[in-house]
Amino acid sequence: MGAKVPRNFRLLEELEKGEKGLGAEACSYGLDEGDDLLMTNWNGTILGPPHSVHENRIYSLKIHCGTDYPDKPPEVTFISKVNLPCVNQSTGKVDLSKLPSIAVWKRDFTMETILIELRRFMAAPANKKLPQPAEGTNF
Amino acid sequence: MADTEQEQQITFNVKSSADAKYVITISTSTSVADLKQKLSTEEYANLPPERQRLIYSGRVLKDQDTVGSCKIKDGNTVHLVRGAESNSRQNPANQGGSTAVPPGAGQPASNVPSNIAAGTGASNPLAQLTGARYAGFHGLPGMDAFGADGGMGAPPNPDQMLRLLEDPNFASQMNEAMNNPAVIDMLRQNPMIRDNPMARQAIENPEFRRMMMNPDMIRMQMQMQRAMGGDGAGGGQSAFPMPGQTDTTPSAEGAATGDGTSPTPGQTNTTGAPTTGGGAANPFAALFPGAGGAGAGANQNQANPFDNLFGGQAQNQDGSGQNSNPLAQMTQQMMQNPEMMQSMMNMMGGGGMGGGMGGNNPSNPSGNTEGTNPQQPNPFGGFNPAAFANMFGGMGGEGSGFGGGGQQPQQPPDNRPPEERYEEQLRQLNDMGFYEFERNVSALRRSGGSVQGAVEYLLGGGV
Repeated sequence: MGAKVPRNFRLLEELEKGEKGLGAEACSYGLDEGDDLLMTNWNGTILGPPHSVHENRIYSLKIHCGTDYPDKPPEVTFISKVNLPCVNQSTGKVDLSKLPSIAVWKRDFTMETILIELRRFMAAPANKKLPQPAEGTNF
Repeated sequence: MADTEQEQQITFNVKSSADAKYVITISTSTSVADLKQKLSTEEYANLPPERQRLIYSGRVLKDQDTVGSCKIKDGNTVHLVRGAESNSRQNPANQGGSTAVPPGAGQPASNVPSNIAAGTGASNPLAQLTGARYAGFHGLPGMDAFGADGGMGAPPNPDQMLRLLEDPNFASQMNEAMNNPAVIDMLRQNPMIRDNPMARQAIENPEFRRMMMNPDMIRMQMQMQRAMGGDGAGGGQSAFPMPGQTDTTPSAEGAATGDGTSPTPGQTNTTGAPTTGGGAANPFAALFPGAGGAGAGANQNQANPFDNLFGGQAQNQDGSGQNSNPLAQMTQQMMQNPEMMQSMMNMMGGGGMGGGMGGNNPSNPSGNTEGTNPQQPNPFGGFNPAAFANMFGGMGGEGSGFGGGGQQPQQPPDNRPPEERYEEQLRQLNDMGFYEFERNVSALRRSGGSVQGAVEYLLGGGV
């Protein structure tokens, strides 16, 4: 139901939300190159959730929104090293199918959804005590 | 642009963890280090530069960058986060400690005492002591089962609700509960439901149940709530380091939306705009009686030894168990605790009501949908809005607080003739001296059924 929002409109919406800081405070995202008209490559950050080993850390990620976005999920890759079951430990790539809440992608999920879910995943009891690589190291 | 014009001034916002927002006007050639210096003064964040982390557009700003090269634009928002000066001490599980040299380490060291973990939990030195991470050390299940901070914090906010509802396990458990005659009986005992045949019917109707637990519905409700300036029941994301709002849609805007449209058709009260004015007194508080209840329930459980609640859940011991979903645990507890179950259902009722009120406005003319959620799947598919109007109206006090429901979710086309759909409003318009049926109907259509909006429109001579 409802009209499908085309990719670019969706991304513009997300861009504005990211730049103006309208979303959740613990996550931030924006275009990698401001003049990227196709809005394909994005940066994201996640503030480590409190009461976990991630506390006070800032994780940087790359988000690649292909032409199929938002019908298909974007590719998300950690730049900062992080030890999480859903993150490929050699490339940093996030396996979204291992994130319970977004394993089944829905069109209304946004990049913010992914970042927030990743953050929540970090805070999950099973993950919040995982030993983490030194802060500041990158994949 | 900004790169070429070195002396250009820009004005942007810096949002810090303490919910504070600073408006900064600065030349684009200013370096990030200088910006931090500026922010460190008492006028602004009052935080030493080496502990400031500035995040913009998904990037951590580096000290040597200039504001211009970060492509910060007018009116944008930069997040200011308190970083730990060094977090090597604060967490034994943090292997390898921190090798990162804090940016700006050359600047005067901050005078944070070294015997407390600097920066833990955004400046709260006690955070470590109260942190839920110690809760599991006694062989008891982690208090995470009750949500962040062991359920002592804010009651589940809509975001959490949403997650909960999106969890398939939860849905199935909930459904199971609803199929349990005992639970239904309990619900029937609830005076709110007992005295209302519509509501009673509704809890027995699986379709309706599904709707009440539809995450889209809650999401919609959340959006509505935010736009109206209410900050939700529990404040922002309670698990965040800063108790900030998760959505900063200016509340003035929200209030304005609310003002524009007054009573919805299903209601006879005309409280309309006043109930939504300003977000200060949270008009939605009443909608979440269950939320408070659930929180209380959790506390009660803490006072209560855990054992009977966790009877069959040995795998959760130590909080590190395989069950990675605290919400699922919570649900399970709820299933075992009728009181909590009940308050839960109240909350659900509240949620449903909220959505229902929002959706109460048949026909959704373009004039009224600014900034809502056009892509929202319609949770009302196949339901008769009128029936809901009756039901929610009947559900008592909370309903009346919703007079100003400012945003309408997408509606199924309402095929009733206008005289029937807008019966109440047309009568009001007639009472006010607007006798032209066609004009009245078209004005009501445009205003989404709001008498006030229709009157404005009629007086504006737009028809």
